[in-house]
Amino acid sequence: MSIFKTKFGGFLLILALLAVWEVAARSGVVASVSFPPFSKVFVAFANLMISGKMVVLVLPSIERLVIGYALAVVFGVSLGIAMGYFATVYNIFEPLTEILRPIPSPAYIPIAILFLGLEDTMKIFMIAFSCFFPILLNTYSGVRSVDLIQINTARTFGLGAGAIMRKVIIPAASPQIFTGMRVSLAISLIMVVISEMVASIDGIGFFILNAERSFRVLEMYAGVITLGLLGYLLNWLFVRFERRVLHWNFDATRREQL
Amino acid sequence: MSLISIRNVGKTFGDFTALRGVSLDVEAGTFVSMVGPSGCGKSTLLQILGGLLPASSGDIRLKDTPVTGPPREMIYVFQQYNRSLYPWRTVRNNVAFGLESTGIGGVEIQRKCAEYIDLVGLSGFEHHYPHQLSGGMQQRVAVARALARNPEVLLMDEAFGSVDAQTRAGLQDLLLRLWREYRFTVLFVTHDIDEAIYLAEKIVVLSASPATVRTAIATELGYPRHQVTTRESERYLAHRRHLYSLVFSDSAADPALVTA
Repeated sequence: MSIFKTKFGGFLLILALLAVWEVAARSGVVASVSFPPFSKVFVAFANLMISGKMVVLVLPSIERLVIGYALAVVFGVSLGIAMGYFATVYNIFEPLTEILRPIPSPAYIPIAILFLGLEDTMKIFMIAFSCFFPILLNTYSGVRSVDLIQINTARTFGLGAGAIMRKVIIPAASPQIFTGMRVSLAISLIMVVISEMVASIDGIGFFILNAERSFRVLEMYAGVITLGLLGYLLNWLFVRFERRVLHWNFDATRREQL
Repeated sequence: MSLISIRNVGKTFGDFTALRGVSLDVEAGTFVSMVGPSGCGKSTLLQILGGLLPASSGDIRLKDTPVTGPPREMIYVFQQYNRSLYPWRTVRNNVAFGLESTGIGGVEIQRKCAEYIDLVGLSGFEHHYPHQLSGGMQQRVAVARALARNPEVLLMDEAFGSVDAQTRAGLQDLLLRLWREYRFTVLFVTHDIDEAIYLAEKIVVLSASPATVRTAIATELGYPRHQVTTRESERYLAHRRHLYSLVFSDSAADPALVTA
């Protein structure tokens, strides 16, 4: 059937689930003050948007996310390239990253609070730290797996080490670098919420937890929906950027799949 | 003085000896094919010659200058065109890749790209990406990229080994036409004895691993060559018989200095 060929069916499913939510809450099948109908949540969400309160809420979170994520990209890609290119750097840092990486990032929050306090510095550090590892890993494995023939082609044309890095290794590794950046984008949203729930007086994470604690259930749900939309928006922007930079890779891999 | 002089070159990888005592001279402007049993070290020798791999022993000179890295005058063309072309660059920018490191200006680069893309018959495909082209067209891009540098020596490593027979015949004739026009020197490594005879003036036969030069044969088939008539000629068939028996017999000859 034609609805399965586009995402139209997928949007219908979302609408259907929202309808089930609405009916379940209104009919009293699930009767609880903690479970208001979606329409009321939507009104609360719309009020937050129209009043401009949402912007004030989300802006500090976005600021932390962007700064933390940008730091992770800069440091992750730089060290990743050095680790991928120089065996010595790889041998020095690889065991350390393998030990640090499996520890869930939220476990570092208490330590970060001890050293950096409760302010933005701690939150930005936590976001940057958590986003750092997927970018680092993907960058160095991308650099290490650059085809030797691509490098030897550059050598036969007389390119030096710097030019080979710029014109061959970085473009060749970029699809994998982007994979790491995509994974980290999701992590950045998780970490901004967690760090704001643990210690904050503003931001969307603080808002959701605070709404729950003061029994403003509608606002709590509205906050969660906001996060869903924010995550969707960030991913949409990322994919647009990725397609722009890596269009050659999208086209090439699509052809291989045919 | 020969353009290329290889003296007593050896190459070992750990315990494995790939080349032993290889000596060979190549005169400027000649078309030389190198054949030998598979895995005998033909490509290793070519990579050492191109400065992509250091020799373990011996001496390689290009115009009496020792080869220590990739020399400007030599361009290496790989068999794996799909891995040698850069997928993020269009046809034109792949051809431009080899020119960007020469210090010539952007306008001149554009002019040369157009000229050499036209020479290999790919005008109109300048803005295509490699994955949008067939294998034969991709290898033509690689040939255009190499020739745009005006190399004195073209090192071709099984360059037409990954395309179908018809495309291969087309690439062979294209290469011969360009060689006759520009008179660069070609060292063409191939496992295909027929291809070696069809293309070359001189054929160097390597022994089984560790490779040494067994013999060199002048084809004396004249140019231009023709895919049908050349391959039917008595002399061609005689070379074919001789070379097949040489390559498939395992007796190693004394490493002798051979002038190709």
